[in-house]
Amino acid sequence: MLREHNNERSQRRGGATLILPLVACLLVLLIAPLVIIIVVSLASRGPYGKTIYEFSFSNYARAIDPVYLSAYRRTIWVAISTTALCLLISYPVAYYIALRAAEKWKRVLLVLVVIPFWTSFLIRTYAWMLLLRSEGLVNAAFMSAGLTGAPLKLLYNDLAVLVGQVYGELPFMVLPLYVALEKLDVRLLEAAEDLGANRFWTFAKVTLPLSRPGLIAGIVLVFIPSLGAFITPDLLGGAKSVMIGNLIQNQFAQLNQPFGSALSILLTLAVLVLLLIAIRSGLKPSELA
Amino acid sequence: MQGYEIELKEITRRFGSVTAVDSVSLEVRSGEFLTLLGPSGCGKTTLLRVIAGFETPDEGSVVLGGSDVTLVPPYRRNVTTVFQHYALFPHLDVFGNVAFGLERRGERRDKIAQLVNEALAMVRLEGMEARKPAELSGGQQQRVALARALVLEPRVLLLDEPLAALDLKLRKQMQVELKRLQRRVGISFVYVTHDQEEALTMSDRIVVMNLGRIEQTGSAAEIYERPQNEFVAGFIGVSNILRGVVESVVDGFASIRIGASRILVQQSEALPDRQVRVMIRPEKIRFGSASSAQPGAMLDAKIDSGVYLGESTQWVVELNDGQRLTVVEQNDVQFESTDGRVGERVTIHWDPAATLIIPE
Repeated sequence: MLREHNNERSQRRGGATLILPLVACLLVLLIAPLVIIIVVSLASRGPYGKTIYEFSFSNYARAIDPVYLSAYRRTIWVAISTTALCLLISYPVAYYIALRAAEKWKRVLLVLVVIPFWTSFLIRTYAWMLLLRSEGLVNAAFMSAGLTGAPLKLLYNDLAVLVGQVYGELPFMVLPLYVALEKLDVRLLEAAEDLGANRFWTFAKVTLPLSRPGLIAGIVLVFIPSLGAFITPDLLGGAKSVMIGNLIQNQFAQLNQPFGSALSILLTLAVLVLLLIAIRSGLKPSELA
Repeated sequence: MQGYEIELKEITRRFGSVTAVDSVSLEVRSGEFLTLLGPSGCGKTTLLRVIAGFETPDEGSVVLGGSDVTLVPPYRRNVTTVFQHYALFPHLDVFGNVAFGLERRGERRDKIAQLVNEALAMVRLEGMEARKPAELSGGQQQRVALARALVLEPRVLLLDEPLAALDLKLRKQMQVELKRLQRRVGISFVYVTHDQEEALTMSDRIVVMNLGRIEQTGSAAEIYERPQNEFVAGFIGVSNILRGVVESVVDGFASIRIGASRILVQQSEALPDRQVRVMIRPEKIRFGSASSAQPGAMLDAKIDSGVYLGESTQWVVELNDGQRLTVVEQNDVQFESTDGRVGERVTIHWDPAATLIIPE
C-alpha cells in the first residue's frame, strides 16, 4: 500500500521531469524572444541605430501612419488572392488524388505534391526569376510561338509576387484538403445521387460541407504565412511591391529595431485574431499539424 | 405490361472474371413486398444496385414503370434506397436529411416542412428534427433513412439489408414495423437479405438467389414447403434429405426403397430405378407408430443425440442404413433430460404429403 503510494508519487515526479525539456524549449525558443521583441518594440531608435530603452508607444502610433497603408493593403490583397487561387487550384487536385486516382497512384501523386520541399524556398524563387525574366523560358516560348513580338514584362510586379506565392503555398492547401476528402464516405455520395441529386448538387450539398475541416485548415495554413511573406515580394516584386514582411525586414536592416519589433508584434496580433476566428468556425488545432 | 413496377430482362453483370448476376429476369408487382434472399456473394445486392442505377448491366435491360431506364443515372430514377449502413449525411440534422431530396426538387419551404413532418410521424420520430445522426441510436438512424427515402414517394423502395446492424430484439420489432409501413404506403418494396427468417416474416414473394442466378421464386409457404431444389431446401430452414431408389409409381405415389425399408412419396413423374432425394422437414416427423400413420410413411430408427431448445427438442435419429434425420419435437410435457433417451429404438412417422422428391 505504502509502496504503491510512493510509486505513484515518484511516477508523478517522473512525469514532471519528462516534460521539463519541452517547457525549457518553449521558454527559450518562443516566450523569451517574444518578450524581448515586446520590450524592444516599446523602446526607440537613437542616432546611428542604437536602441534607447525609453519606453513609449510611439512606434505603435507610427505604424498607423498612412505612409504604410499601401504596404498593408498590398499584403492583404496578396494574401487573399494567394489563398483564393490556391483553393481553386488545390481542390480539384486534392479531389482527384483522394477520390478518383487509382490506389497505386495515390502515393506517387502525394509525393509529387511534396517534392518541392526538398529544395529551399529561396532557390525555388530564384528559379521563378529565371522563368519569368525577359530572356526567360516563358517569354522565349511565347515569342517562338509567335504569341508576342517583344518580351512581356513578367517579372518585378505584383503579378509575379502572386505567382511565386501561389506556387510556394500550394502544397499547404493540397495536403489538408486531401486528408479531408480522403475521409469522405463515398457511400454518402451514392445516397445523395439516390435521392435525386446530380453531380453538382451532390458536390455543393455533401462533398463541400464535409470537406470543411480541410478547407479551414488549408486557408489558415496559406493565408497566415502569406501575411508575413517577404522573400517573394523581395525577389519577384518591383520597387513598389512592398509587403509588411519587407517593411519589417527593412527596419531591421536600417537598424530601427524598435519600429520593426512593433510591426512584428502587430502582425502577430493580427494572426492570433485570425486563428481565433478560424477556431471559432470549427478549426481543430490538431488539423494544422 | 400493367401491374409491373419493375421488369428486369436477362440482366447480366460481370466484375472482371466474376459474373455477379447471370442472366436474371424478374418482375416486381405493384404494391408487393419482394425479398431477394441468398447467401453473401449470390448477387442480390448487385441486382439491387442495378435497379437503383449504381451498376449498369453488361447485358439486359431495366424497365421502370414501363420505360427503359437501363442507362438512366440514379438521380433520374424514381426509386430510392435504404442503405445497409443508412448513409445519413453527418453534417445535416434529421430534418435536413429527410428534406434533402425535396429541396433538390425545389419544393416550397412550407411544403417541405409539412412533408418532412408527415414522414417523421410515419416512422415515429416526431420531435427529433434537430438531432444530428451521431446523436441517434441505430434504430432511430434506420427510421431516418426510411423517412428520407419514403418522403420522395418513389415507385419502388429498395432496402439493402437494412436491419443487419441492429440487435435481435430491435430487428424483430422493425420487421413487423416495416411490413406495417409497406402496407400503409402501398409502395412496392424490394428487400435484400441473407436472413431467411426475415424473408419468411415479411415477404409477399421471395426470390432465392445463388451464384448470380435465381433458384426459386414464390411465396414464403411455397419456398418452405415445396423447394424446387436441394439448395433452396437447405438454405431455408432445416431439411432432411434421404437418398433412395424409386421402385414403382402407382396412383400418384412413388414407392422408394431406403435401405431395407420402403416409403411412399407423392409424385407422379419419377421413373422406376432412378436414384432420388426425398426431403422432409424436421417438424413434420413424429415419434411412435401412430395407428393413423399410413403404411409407407413409417421408419424404424435409433436416437443418436438430442439438444434441448426450450420450447422444443431437436433430435438426431439414425436409420437402419446409417442415414441420419433431424426431428424436432415440441416440448408439450414436462421435459426431463435428453441423455436418458439416447440409444432408444423408436419408430418415426409423418404425413406422406409432407415429403417431396427433389430433382437431381
